[in-house]
Amino acid sequence: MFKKTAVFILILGICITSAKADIKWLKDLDTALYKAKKQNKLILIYIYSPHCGYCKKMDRTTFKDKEIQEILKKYFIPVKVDKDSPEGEMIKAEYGYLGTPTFHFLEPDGKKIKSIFGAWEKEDFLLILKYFAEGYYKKMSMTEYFMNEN
Amino acid sequence: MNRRNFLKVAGIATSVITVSPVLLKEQNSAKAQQQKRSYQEALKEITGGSPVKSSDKVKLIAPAIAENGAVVPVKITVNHPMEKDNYVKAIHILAKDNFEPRTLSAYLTPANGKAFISTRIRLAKTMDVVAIAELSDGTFLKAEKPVKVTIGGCG
Repeated sequence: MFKKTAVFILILGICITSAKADIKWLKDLDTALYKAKKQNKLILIYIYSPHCGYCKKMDRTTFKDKEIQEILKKYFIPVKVDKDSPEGEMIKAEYGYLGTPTFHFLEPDGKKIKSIFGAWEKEDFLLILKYFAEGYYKKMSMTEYFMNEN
Repeated sequence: MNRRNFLKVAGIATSVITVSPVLLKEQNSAKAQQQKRSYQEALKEITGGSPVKSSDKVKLIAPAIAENGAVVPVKITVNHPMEKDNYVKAIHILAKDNFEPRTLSAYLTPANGKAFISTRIRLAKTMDVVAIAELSDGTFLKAEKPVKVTIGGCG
């Protein structure tokens, strides 16, 4: 009996931890703008398609990474929209669309900083997120930021 | 349309129909001949098999992460004299895993004053970019740098 209870508690603990660690994607921009202004955070919009293998890969790998989740939680208000949903159509019309996945990085007031296309490995996406989170985007272009000598 | 015109048009149409499959076949075979070249093959084409030495004289500046693989900025400087009998004859750029790794060859003379090029190249995926300096004495120096691009996306 004690053994069963211990296993149950362990499983429950794992479930709570993983639920806690997952990224809390918002589904609409208005809520994101409200929260971003209030918390003075950047907005990351992730436009995906349920048919896009690269989006699924990012969901399975990059967005499951703890470091990615932490930096998103600390510096960004994340929004995830289906490219064909009404919200997705509105965001595409407002900020543009490069294919799936498209990532739009916005200032807290909704002004677009930059759009990036494609799926990224977690190490690379982390560096991209740091470029925005640490405010380097105010000083130099992303290309300049990543340009370095062999 | 009179009979003469009809025969002319019919003749032309018949010729086009007869010749088209031949042309298409030739085009297809031309496409089939395009084959991926290895980095080693491309390198040998440049050096003729001569050894290539890694050197800090060759400075290759490229982004560690390129936001768009279709236009990756690359700058190369070779710290070497540009004198009449001792100069950098050419700077070559190779993208190791591209379908055609030999990306660019810029030929220089002492009149250039400085061995420097700046360009944009296309990378099909994450790979190493190699800059090779061909010196007037026939020796080759190189620098290498990995450049990461998106793993892919859907249109």
